[in-house]
Amino acid sequence: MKKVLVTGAAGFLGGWIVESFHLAGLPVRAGVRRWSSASRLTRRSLEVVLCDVLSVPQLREAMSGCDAVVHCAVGDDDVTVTGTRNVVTAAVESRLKRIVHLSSVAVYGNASGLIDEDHPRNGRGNAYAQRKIAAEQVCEPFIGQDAPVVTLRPTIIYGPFSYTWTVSFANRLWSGQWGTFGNSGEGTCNLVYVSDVVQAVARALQSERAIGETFNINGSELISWNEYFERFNEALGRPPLPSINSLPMVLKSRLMAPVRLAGRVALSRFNRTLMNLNAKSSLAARYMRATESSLKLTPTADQLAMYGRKVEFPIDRAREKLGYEPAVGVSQGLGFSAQWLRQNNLLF
Amino acid sequence: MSTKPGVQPSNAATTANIGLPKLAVIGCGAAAKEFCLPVLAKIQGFESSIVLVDKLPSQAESVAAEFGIQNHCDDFRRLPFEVDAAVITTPHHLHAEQAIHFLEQGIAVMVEKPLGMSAEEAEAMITAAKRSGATLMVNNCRRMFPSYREVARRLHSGDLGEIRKVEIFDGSPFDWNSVSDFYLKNPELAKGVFLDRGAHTVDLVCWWLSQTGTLGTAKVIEAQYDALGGGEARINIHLCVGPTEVQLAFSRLHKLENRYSVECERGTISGRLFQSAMFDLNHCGKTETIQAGKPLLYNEYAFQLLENFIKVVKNQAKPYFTADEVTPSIALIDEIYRCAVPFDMPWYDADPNIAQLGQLIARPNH
Repeated sequence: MKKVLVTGAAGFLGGWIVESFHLAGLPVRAGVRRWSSASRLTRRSLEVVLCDVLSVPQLREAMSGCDAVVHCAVGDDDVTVTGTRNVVTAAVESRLKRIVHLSSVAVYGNASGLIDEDHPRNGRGNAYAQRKIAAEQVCEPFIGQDAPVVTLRPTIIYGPFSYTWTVSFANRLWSGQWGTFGNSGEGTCNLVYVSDVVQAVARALQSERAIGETFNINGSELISWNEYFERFNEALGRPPLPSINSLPMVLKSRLMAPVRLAGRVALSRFNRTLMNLNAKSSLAARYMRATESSLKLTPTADQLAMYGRKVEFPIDRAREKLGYEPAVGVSQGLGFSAQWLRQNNLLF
Repeated sequence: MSTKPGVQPSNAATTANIGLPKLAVIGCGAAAKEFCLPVLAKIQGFESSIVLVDKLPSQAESVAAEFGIQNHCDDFRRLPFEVDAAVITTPHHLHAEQAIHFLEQGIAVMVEKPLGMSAEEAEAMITAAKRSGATLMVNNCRRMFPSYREVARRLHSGDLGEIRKVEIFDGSPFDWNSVSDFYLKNPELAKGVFLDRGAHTVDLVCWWLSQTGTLGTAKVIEAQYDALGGGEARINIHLCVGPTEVQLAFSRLHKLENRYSVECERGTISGRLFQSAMFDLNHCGKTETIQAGKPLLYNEYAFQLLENFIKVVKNQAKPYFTADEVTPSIALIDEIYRCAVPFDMPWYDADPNIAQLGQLIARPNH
């Protein structure tokens, strides 16, 4: 392998791929959309280039001298779908030997049971899933023409630098206002530690048998969401979690839904006005902080449904064709996460 | 280092009336556009009184067009007319050379923070200013926050007794719209989060702890950062300054608590870092919220300071604070950098996947 370009390298997974490859002495080039997002990468002496996936000339330049690309960049419809088309087109034009496309098990929608890679995709009611499906569909004609595309569908990726599945849950647990959810929390939490996904990416770059294939990438242990909360809480050294009656939480979730929506609209349309209000009115600042905190501590209806859904994404195909075997158990992964959170002063 | 009596910032926007000296703005990046030119553009006659300088002629030209400024050039040594003052908003490593060039000619200088890359640079700039008698100011605009000024006043008055402990958490994802990539691309030129954010926060600590007008001896107990061949994105610091224990944490990766607390013999002051006009005082078991003034937007404090600089140049005011008041913080930042060691990061060092990655890629295809 000459050199690997990673798009979306400023993101959680992209950053991990770049850092891990760099630590292992593998030639890697980190592609970022803008310099201001590169703080994590520039802690190390590694190659960072501007690589907006919506800019074909930038992509071509970023791919020069590389023989593979790992495509992690994700964003709105344009970035996720058009960006993927640009990446694969540029990679084929540049005759790269491998294109590893990071998709997600979100493409299966709200399916339950045993979900292997042949399960139909379903993005109904979930914009993220729809985008990821559309991005996979963009790759398919290229695969049909023997482009060396490998698609990975990781499950819930957690670990240091993950805001969604690590920092936000740590904040909830640290608040003392979180707990287990009885039967409503007995759904399957398909956790995969981030460096296990890096391992899968490395194998997808190597394996000839992987070309044109799609793989679920899951962790080594299947635990429930309740167990995730309990074990993470323990790793953080917090007192045992109470059991929360899920019915009031469902009601609270429904009550907060319009607030969440209004907040999202206000932030997207009146961000500057809100910032000014926050700076100039202590009352407004307090109200905004309290609302933000309440929203963070209240799961959405979709999240509550997820905590109860029994679903499993087997990795048999990845084991067989990639030789993938997750190496970081939940205890070790949560241990790393807790140490990272403490050192980063993120427990408050 | 105490707040000068009689030199208090005003909230009134009087910029338009003060008139503008001949002024060079060195560097046409984000700092010039955000903090400097919006206020200068309010002053009558600014179009012909200002010369914009940027080593990239196209950048100077486009910013000149944006603000309606007539003069621009690409070399601070060859300006199209003589100037009375210079505002330097270039990358950190250029501050000293450019400031000294103007100061040696007796031209007043206002420099973006940090004053310099090191204590030596800061000293050289101050020496040049003293030698020619020119004013040297620095845009440590958080010193303009009414809350910080009031905290300083109360600490310096001695009413709360000896300061025992200072704790500050200062962090948010880096989002500065820098035109050049110097902040992140060249760590030797910009260092990391500590020089960037610490220029404000360490200055605050030095200012508050200078109860007697001078800073006590600082001893770095522990400083750990995450620089691994590049610029650090976070740093945790434990110091003792005289009898005071100081804990600081900075991050440009994540939003931290962004709060401060100052524990004294007879009370504790606490506040949110960016709440510019209010803080809490816990005294005798009761917490009182102190409203120290009218809050402004962050940029408006920088505008106040720039307005003050222009008045100083025109002999219409004294500086709110001068660069030499900020120098102890630059020296302390230097010392902390000298003592800083990398964190233990087991999520890299003990990760079984990373340990095997090299072998995995080197191995023939599966």
